[in-house]
Amino acid sequence: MITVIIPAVLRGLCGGTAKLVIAATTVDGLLRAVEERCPGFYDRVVEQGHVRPELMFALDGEVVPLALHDTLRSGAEIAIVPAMAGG
Amino acid sequence: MTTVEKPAYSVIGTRPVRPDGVEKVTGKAQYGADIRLSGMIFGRVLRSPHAHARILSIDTSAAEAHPGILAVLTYRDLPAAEDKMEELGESNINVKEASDNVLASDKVLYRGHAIAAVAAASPHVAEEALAKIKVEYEILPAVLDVRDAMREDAPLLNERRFTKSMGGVMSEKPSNIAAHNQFKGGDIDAAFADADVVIEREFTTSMVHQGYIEPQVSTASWNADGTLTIWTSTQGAFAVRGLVAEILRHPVSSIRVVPMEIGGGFGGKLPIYLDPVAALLSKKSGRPVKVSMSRTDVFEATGPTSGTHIRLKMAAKGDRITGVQAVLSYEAGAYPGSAVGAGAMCMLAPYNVENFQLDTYDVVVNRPKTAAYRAPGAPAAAFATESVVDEIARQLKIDPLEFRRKNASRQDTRNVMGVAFPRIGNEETLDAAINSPHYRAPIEGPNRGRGVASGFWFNGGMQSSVVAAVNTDGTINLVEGSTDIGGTRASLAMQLAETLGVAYETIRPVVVDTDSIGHNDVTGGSRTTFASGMAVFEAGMDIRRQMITRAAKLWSCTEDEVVYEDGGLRCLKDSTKELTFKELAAQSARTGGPIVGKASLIARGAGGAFATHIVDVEVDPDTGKVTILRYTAVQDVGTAIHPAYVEGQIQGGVVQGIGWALNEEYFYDESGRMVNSSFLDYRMPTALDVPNIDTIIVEVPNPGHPYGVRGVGEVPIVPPLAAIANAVADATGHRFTALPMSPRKVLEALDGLE
Amino acid sequence: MPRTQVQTRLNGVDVDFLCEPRQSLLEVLRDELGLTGAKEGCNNGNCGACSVIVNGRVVNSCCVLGVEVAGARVETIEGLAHGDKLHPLQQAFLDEAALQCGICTPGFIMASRALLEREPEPDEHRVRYWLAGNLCRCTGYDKIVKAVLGAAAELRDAPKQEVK
Repeated sequence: MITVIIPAVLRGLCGGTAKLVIAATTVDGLLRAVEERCPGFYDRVVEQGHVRPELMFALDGEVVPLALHDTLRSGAEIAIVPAMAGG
Repeated sequence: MTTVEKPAYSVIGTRPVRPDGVEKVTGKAQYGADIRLSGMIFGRVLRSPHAHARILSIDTSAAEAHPGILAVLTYRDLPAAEDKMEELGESNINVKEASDNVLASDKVLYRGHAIAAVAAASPHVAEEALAKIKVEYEILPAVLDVRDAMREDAPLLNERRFTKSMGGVMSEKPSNIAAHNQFKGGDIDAAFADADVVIEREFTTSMVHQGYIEPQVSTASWNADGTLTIWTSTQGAFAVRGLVAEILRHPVSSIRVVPMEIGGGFGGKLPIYLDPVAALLSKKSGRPVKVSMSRTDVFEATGPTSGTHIRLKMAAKGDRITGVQAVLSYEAGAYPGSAVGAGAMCMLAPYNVENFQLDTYDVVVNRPKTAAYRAPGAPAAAFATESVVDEIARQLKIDPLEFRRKNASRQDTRNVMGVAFPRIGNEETLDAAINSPHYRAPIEGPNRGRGVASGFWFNGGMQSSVVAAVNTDGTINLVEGSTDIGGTRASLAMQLAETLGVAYETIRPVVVDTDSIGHNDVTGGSRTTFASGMAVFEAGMDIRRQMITRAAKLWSCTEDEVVYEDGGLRCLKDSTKELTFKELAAQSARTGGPIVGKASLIARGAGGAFATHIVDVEVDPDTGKVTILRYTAVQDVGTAIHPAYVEGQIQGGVVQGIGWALNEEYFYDESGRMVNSSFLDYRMPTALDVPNIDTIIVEVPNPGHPYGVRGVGEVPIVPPLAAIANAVADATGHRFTALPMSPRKVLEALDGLE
Repeated sequence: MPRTQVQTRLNGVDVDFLCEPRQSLLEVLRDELGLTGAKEGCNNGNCGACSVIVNGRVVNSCCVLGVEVAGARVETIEGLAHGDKLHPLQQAFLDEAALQCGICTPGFIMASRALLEREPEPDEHRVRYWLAGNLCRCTGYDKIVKAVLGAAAELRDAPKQEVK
């Protein structure tokens, strides 16, 4: 089970819910499962078969780019955040 | 100072001389402008004098006819120039905008925006020809300030841009507000209603430049078969290769990028400006072409960092921060993509705050497109947060460091993204600051004050590839692809030496071009010692495994019976059987051939870093000058691989922060022209402006790295802005909410004239 | 533009070169003589990355014309070491980790040399004052100042080196 924090600007799609616990093993699986509870969510995060280039994921204390096929370990907590770059 | 038990390292923690040092102190090191190729000619770029204008026509005929001109370029030479934005997906829009930033197509969006380029055998002749290019403009009203750009009636940089919010379109009408995002948790209304203290302030910071001493420069040689070599000043050779391939629609495999020694980057040499121009000038002229920027071009046409406007409201109850609400608006420059999101994600990191709402706006203005500048987004956001934390602490009559300590984030505290921190060193850093000689020393005297501030940066991981080839004399060639801007050749060689148990001096690290090593992501984000270090560790372990296999064969033991330690191998069941690393290396040809270790990885497990700074200032009431009397920077570095280079990174970041706080800013006139585009008037700190910068290294090893490394290079620039503002407030009683606190502004404030 | 022949004494050796009147000494060193140790940071005398020594004085070579050094003594970073023996300033910069990207380093070393040739015992404030014309963005100056003070002490103890 993965805990996903819904970005604040998308919580309206989820009836205001900020956090969901989802059974999923990949990023794509996770996003599609969230879509079922929050219609319209998937297309806000995915464009033309890729995670939007301006988005990343906060996972285990890091901000990382993930692809749709990347696997997630059970018990992970993940948030979708603006892409961060260093200098 | 070590706070957590750390292994006794042999090489890590020592201070060897950097491998590139002798060449740099003798003038032999080759930077981008130093390259000389047979037949090389020089390129120069024509730039827009207007901050906002439609390009009606470009007539290059007189320039083409100028004696000695061998090539002329405009946007028509760029493949993406004719693409229509409406038909492009998001990532293709980024390429179109990058292409337009290299050479403007239908509009110029800032003064300095490149329009055309020429090449000639002499740079002086090239400049003569530039003056003959005739451009017809329709000048448009310019918008320069982030708040002005957000208004309904603001001139639009792009009539087809609407406000986006995470993949969705939010605005009904076109807008300069390119994006909005929000971080929200808990219940801020309840927090504010229930608070003992609420403080609300508005802050502004000015656009500032990274100020690297070496201007951008790129030399390209295009062969008739389409193979292209580029020698360039960059923080990432593979990034240059990829961007040039996209912008020129040229195969990646035909492009070789050679990273030269780099004269400073700090994030400003991640984007590309000149490489496609040099490439096309070379293609058209049939000669290698070197294109460099003047210092004015660097100020006007590279990527400074955003000016910002931040409204922040903070609530406290008892001695706890209970709520924070903030609106952050950052200038993106001519195209979207400021670091406002990162600012929001870092500003509350030092604190355990449950109730928050942070709204971020990314806003385009008629200024150059902003680029990363060391912890991009975080310094301005920390300026606002740490100033208000200071005010609240004073109102509650609690020592400002003790107040931070009571509210400190730690492992498992949730950040504003909603996820928990792993092991972090915030509390240890605060404790070291509280107990430091500086903080314990009293500050005395008129017009003097002390300020403190904390800061955080995430630090990056990303991709690295390295190869370590063992020579038969026991030395090792370490081939890597991370441009060295701070001393990473040394820190990577040290990590390999530690892994193999050999002397640092036996490792020869070299940074190679894009044909010679697997992909490496950029040197930036404080990632190199961490991520390339992890690759180096893996390559070292690869070598150890190979050596165990060979020793086992030599000794007729099983591999389980052979152990590698202390730079050598021995057989557990027969103590007479042992070999040093060097002895086994000498036998490589007879034991299976060359011994080469390699690793390519995406480094995960990057550890965030915290810093707390203490600064004493004296303010001259007659001149408004703020003198830094004493500065101490305390920072958690995980493990200091090379303490002198860690100190150097901290000291450099602090002094950039001092400049940002006290003097640096882009002065624009109403027409959108930067009037202080030289080092005389864009006032960066000199040796006379700063004292020694004391550093206290805290080591809370990062569990995600074999040697506990955390990135160090960026977080030092995060606390200084607020630390100095807090010190000036302590000295004068006046709290500055606008940067820089230049002498004129200080005098105006003290005289009540603002 | 017609070129002038200029004769000068560069790092102890007589050289001559051709240059246009509009070419700076910095351009001449880098583009005509192949000595790229002096760097262009701003081309208008504000950063010191191009610092060299002319007739014993430290100058910004971007603000000196090539034709002006006719008959003069010019010293650049390339002439400081003797064979493979580094000058104490160069060694001090290495030992104190007083460089990171290194682009400002030749300028700092030449400016420091000019200081120590005339003032063998500067204090910290004097060093900072003298070097205020050389910008560094990487180090924050702390280790540079320590290196120069260290080299000054070393030079005071060492036998005098002859400047040609």
